[in-house]
Amino acid sequence: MGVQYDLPPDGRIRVLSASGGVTVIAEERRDVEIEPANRSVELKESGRGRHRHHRGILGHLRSHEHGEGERQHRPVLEVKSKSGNIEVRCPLGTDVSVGAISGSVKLKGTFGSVKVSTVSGGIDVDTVLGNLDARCVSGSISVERCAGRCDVSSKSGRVRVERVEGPTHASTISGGVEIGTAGSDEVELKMVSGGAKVTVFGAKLPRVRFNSLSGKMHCECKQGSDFDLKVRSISGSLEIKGR
Amino acid sequence: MSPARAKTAVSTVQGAIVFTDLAGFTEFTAIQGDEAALELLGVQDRLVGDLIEGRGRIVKELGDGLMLWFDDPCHAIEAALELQERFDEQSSKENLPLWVRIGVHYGRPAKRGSDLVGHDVNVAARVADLAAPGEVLISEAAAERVAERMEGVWFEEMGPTVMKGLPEPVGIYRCIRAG
Repeated sequence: MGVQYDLPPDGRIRVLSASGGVTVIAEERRDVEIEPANRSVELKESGRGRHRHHRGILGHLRSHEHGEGERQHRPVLEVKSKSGNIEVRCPLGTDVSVGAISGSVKLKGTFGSVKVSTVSGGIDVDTVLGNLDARCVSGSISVERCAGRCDVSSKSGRVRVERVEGPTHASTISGGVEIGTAGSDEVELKMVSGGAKVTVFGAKLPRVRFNSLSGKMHCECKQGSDFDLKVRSISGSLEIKGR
Repeated sequence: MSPARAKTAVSTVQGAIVFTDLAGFTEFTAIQGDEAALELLGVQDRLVGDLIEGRGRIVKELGDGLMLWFDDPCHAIEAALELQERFDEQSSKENLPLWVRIGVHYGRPAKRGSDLVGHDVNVAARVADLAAPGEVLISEAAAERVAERMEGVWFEEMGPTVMKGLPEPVGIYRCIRAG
């Protein structure tokens, strides 16, 4: 049994973990439960108090959630863990950010906006209704669905996004990329040696621009002008399928 | 005589440390050959040389990457964004799918001859490590010093990031040219 905390209206959750896995579960509930109980938990007012210095930055902040230049003064429930696994349960649709070094990060359920960074752990995300930024150095990234803008980047791991609906930017150095797109917004992929597989849903027709030194393109669907698909690689190939 | 060494005063300098990394250079070299690789490094040297003239200096070369120093963090970020843009233009013109990854941090590293060392150098290297191809990431320390002085640049908060070897999380921002 964990410890319960109230999450203020419009509050966000931030989890920072040095080692050990992080699991965040979004479910039907109003509070936040953290397990185990002996973790450092602090409610911070972003833009005020200890984070007062953010004001200068926010003057030029481009916020995905609130539009350009608008300021965010949103409370943040910050959970810090030095070692061991941690599980956080929160209300559906919560905005979550997670920073971890070596453990894997799993986000189960439906979230608002999500930002995750890891060094060597993998990232596994269910559903994001807002924007997603997931990046890691050597782990893999797997996302089931992102309805907003989707930025995913891994140096040596594989990147897979089952379904994206907003503009998408994915990059890897040596890992492969698999993206399923609704075809309503631009998809841009940058790979060095990894290949890319793109699935286009809903009979949408991509305008494909593929630029590679030695990679080949194989496109099984018709090309058109519904959305831009820009892929650049050094040696990775591109495969496009319609579904 | 005491075996303990007398402590020498450490000379430090305050400013912005920049790390760049040419994503895909190894693969590029394998496919295009050493001559093309040297040519590419020459292009990078020229671009960087033009951009930092009168504003900063190359601390050292790190294979296909560089460590740069700027007294003014605004100059560091401006140079980083311009380097991305010029590199992008160059690679589009020559049909080369290559990108730079750049990390910027503001701090007070220790001087060691013409080299710089210390915690702030390590932070800058870690920030660059997290950058995606074609991206400029900066630490919160750098963002705090430039935000109100840089017109036409957005700083998109990526959230605090826990980095290997660093005891405290580092706030990270992505720099984007406005408009």
